[in-house]
Amino acid sequence: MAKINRKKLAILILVCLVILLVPCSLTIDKVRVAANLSERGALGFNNLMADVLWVETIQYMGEAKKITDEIATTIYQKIERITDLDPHFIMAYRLAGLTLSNKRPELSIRILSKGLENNPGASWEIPFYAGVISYFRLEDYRGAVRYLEAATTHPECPDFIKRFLARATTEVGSYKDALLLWEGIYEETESPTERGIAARHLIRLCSQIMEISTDRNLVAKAKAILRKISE
Amino acid sequence: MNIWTIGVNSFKRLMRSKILYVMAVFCLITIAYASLYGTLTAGQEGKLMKDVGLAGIAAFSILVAILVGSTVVAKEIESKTIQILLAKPVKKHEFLLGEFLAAALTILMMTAIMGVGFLIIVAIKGIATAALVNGVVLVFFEAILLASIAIFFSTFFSGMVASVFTFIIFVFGHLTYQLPFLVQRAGNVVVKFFGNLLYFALPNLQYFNIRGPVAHNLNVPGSMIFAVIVYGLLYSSIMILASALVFKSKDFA
Amino acid sequence: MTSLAIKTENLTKVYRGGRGTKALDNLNLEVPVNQIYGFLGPNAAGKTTTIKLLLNLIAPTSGRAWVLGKEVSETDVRKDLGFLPENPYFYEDLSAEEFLDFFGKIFHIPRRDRVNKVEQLLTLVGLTEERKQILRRFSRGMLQRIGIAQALINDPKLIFLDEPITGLDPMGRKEIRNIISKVRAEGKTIFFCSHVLHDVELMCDHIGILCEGRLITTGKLDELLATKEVEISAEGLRGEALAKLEGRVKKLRKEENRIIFDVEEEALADEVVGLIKHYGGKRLSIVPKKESLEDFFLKAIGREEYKPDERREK
Ligand SMILES: Nc1ncnc2c1ncn2[C@@H]1O[C@H](COP(=O)(O)OP(=O)(O)O)[C@@H](O)[C@H]1O
Ligand SMILES: [Mg+2]
Repeated sequence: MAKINRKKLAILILVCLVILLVPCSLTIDKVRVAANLSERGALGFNNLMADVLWVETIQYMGEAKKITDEIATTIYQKIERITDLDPHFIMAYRLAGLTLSNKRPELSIRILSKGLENNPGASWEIPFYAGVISYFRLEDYRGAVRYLEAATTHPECPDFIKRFLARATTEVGSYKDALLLWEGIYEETESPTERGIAARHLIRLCSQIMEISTDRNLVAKAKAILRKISE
Repeated sequence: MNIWTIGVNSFKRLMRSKILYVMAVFCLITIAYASLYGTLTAGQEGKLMKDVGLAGIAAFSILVAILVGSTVVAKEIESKTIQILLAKPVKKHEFLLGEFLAAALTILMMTAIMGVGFLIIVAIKGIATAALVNGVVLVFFEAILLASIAIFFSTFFSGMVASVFTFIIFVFGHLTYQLPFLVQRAGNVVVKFFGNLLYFALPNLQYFNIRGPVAHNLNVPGSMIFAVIVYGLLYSSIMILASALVFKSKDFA
Repeated sequence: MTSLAIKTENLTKVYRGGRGTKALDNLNLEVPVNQIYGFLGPNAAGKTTTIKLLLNLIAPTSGRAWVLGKEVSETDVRKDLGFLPENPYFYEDLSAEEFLDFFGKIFHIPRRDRVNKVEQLLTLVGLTEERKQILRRFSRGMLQRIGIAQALINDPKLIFLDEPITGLDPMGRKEIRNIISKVRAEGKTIFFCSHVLHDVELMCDHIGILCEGRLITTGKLDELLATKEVEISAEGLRGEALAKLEGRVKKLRKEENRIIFDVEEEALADEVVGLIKHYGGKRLSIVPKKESLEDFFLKAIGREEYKPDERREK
């Protein structure tokens, strides 16, 4: 008799535990949604897979001498996959945004705004890059202002952006601004790849300025920057 | 008391099996790889190291859990050593809990060694965060949960079959998060019911994966970590209790 | 019931899954204490099944069983039991010492006593030299011996030995027999399963014969094998005398120059001895005849020849 009761008790406890599992599960679901912890398959190894693809992409970009339309599209697709797997991979958005800005600015904006959506307030670089590209490449000034404003809400946003934003709302882009911005990126970034991209932009920009500009100050500045980069 | 004795004995024997050494070596390779991996890329070595390290810890902990969970009980049944033990004043649930304890200790040891090694390397790089510990802790509880499932399966099946089934549960456990979405779209009431049933019956292993956010230094609420641990322990208890019920009426011939 | 070490009532086991053969069929067994009880039967008779039922390792299909006066399902009763399984396989990663120590812990023997007990058992089974050796390296005979040591760790009152001697070489058999005799001398009850008749004949007080799940006979070995027959040997008898005597005895045979008479009953013996004298013969000896266990066993299971592995056709 006592034995049967023990078994029944065990089954009862089992049922209770199973029932408890449901509210526990629902609570976690709720907290996860609130904390914006998104699900990304890959059996829990999504980040690792993103990293593998990332290294691949970096290599691909390194090997590509010149970013053609085709290469830009491939990079875009790779970055899409990477950021699907790891939506918080800020650097992937940043790098893609800069790399694609010349050939495919619209893809660049697309990937940057995906980054902004997935990581609101996480980085000032993403909206800043989007702003710069909108401003200079797409000449979408309203969009640029919107992105730059988003960038300035970030506590670590450097002052030059705020200054640029102040003028961007009134003026249309110039070499001077472009120089200022790329120099800003060049100085601010901690990523060698990004720095390289910024350096290339600066070199092109500076040589353009030296060729066509009549503003002495600007030419002098361009020369100074070129010297700094070549060091 | 008996539980502890049996658990420590099995743990001791597990520690003497070569497979764990092999695992430890693989793990060291992974961590070394992680630190190598990081040096390659543009300003992201921190994230990459954390990702690869955490993924390595997760993979090996889960592997150890499936392997050990599906052998601790099954091996004693298959080699009939369980008969000697149960011929002594040992209750079947004591045996089961002892073996679960052995599996848990093994997993704890493996995860802890890997975790500490990882944290040291990360600390040397100067990118250690407290959240990484949380990530490793949840890996441990996921491994415990899988071990309890493996033990449950090994009360019916051979160790080999139990490990395969546990692996299948591992795969589906990481996919259950898609169920609510699928259930929503299903028109049929029966499909909806079974979808929901499946959602709560399968372990939601994605809960234990906070490795992404942790590697990115994103905030993971402590309350959620706590709730996930409770969930893991609850699920493991259910598995062990169910195993005990199966064991109660099992013949050890 | 306390004077009985084992008692079963209609104990029956049908294994699930198999062809539904009755491994054990209404076994009613009574084993007295302080005995070596030899449980005999060909392979697949159900001996191991009986032991497993008595140790509660498997559940009976029907019937009940008691050991040491308690129902077998009570965990506590196993405090006083020892068990050496058939073809023992042990934790092969443990050393002999660790192995025994582990079971000592299972019985909650305090540390110091445990150390002594392990020492004492290793001495008993002659494995003191191999104490640190890992069981994987043990030979079959050594495993059998450590298995017996393991079964004795708790000073059990009743010990189940399932085929402890089978499959060992003559030296090994002798060693195990010696160990069992020593254990027996300590006043323990031993339930000894075997299909090797010789071992049982040498050691057991009581036997039971099991065949195809049914208990055929049980009783004291001496009594079972005892017959009323008497064997008389004589010499110096002539042909005609032999012809005369042949009619009175059961069997008559010549051995060198002696004649051996098998006489059916003791009462007839006097008459035969008288006749031998009468015909001028000389009576050399007169002994009560004992049946060999093998003959008895074969008679019991109704077969001509003993092949342990054969299973009778239905
Ligand atoms: N686990 C089992 N499942 C199915 N049948 C079994 C099992 N164990 C034993 N049997 C069958 O039960 C019968 C008795 O076996 P057993 O008790 O091992 O005999 P013995 O020990 O006398 O050789 C045999 O026919 C055997 O095939
Ligand atoms: Mg047998």
